[in-house]
Amino acid sequence: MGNGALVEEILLLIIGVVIFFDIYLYLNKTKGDTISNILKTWVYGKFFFITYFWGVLAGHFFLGSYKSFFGNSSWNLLIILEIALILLTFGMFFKVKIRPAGQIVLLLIGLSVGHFFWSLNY
Amino acid sequence: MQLHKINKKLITRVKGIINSKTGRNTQFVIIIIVLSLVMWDIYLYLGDQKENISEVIRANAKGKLFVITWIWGILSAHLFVSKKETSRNIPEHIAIIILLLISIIIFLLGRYIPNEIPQYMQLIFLFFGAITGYYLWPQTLSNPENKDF
Repeated sequence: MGNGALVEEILLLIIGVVIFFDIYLYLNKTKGDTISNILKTWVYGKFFFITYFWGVLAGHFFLGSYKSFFGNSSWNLLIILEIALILLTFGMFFKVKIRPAGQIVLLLIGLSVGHFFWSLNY
Repeated sequence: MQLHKINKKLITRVKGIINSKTGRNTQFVIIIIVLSLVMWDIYLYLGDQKENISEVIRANAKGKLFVITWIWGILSAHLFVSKKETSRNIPEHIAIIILLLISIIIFLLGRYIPNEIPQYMQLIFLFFGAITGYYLWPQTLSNPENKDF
């Protein structure tokens, strides 16, 4: 297997470090500085493209269509990044704010984009 | 008048968090971790396509560790779908303990299932993870109308 086991170990290490860091942030004196709080601040502010990306990654990791629209080409990734860029532009320059219902929609859009455009199944 | 006061208090609090050193540090750490993961993944991808981060996560989630999918669902709801302040009815630590217990059960379940689970099961785990996360472990929505956010 070679490299795969190493990748697993490093990923586990990173997850462990992140969890301990988050527990530390939760226990320290400053309120509202945990990773979840910061991410919430971001996605309910300008950077709601993160929500979309989380959905894309879910589709990419766990789902995946068996037939691609463009074959296995870089067009797929370009479309995904293009949508993210559009969302970022709306957040940064048009002062668009997304409510919780909108966040769910963003997650679902991301999930389908990840499923159809960035599948690992072909 | 009362509402105005509360609003002002909230704004100063949020400003405090954003300007505080620890909040900054957290932002910095998140960005560093994400950037290094992306760069590492590109490096792995250029080296050997079969063993980059996506392939490793996917292979594990499709095999015995479908608890990953479940946790991804929980985090989707926890991080991105917040609730209004009044609607939390279970204390946070109890909710976390319940979620951990369910996760351990799903993890143990994974060890006794011999074959890969079908893809629609991934969707089901993701979906139920998100629903459970939403009802048990949501974050409270601080004023989204706030311009300082």
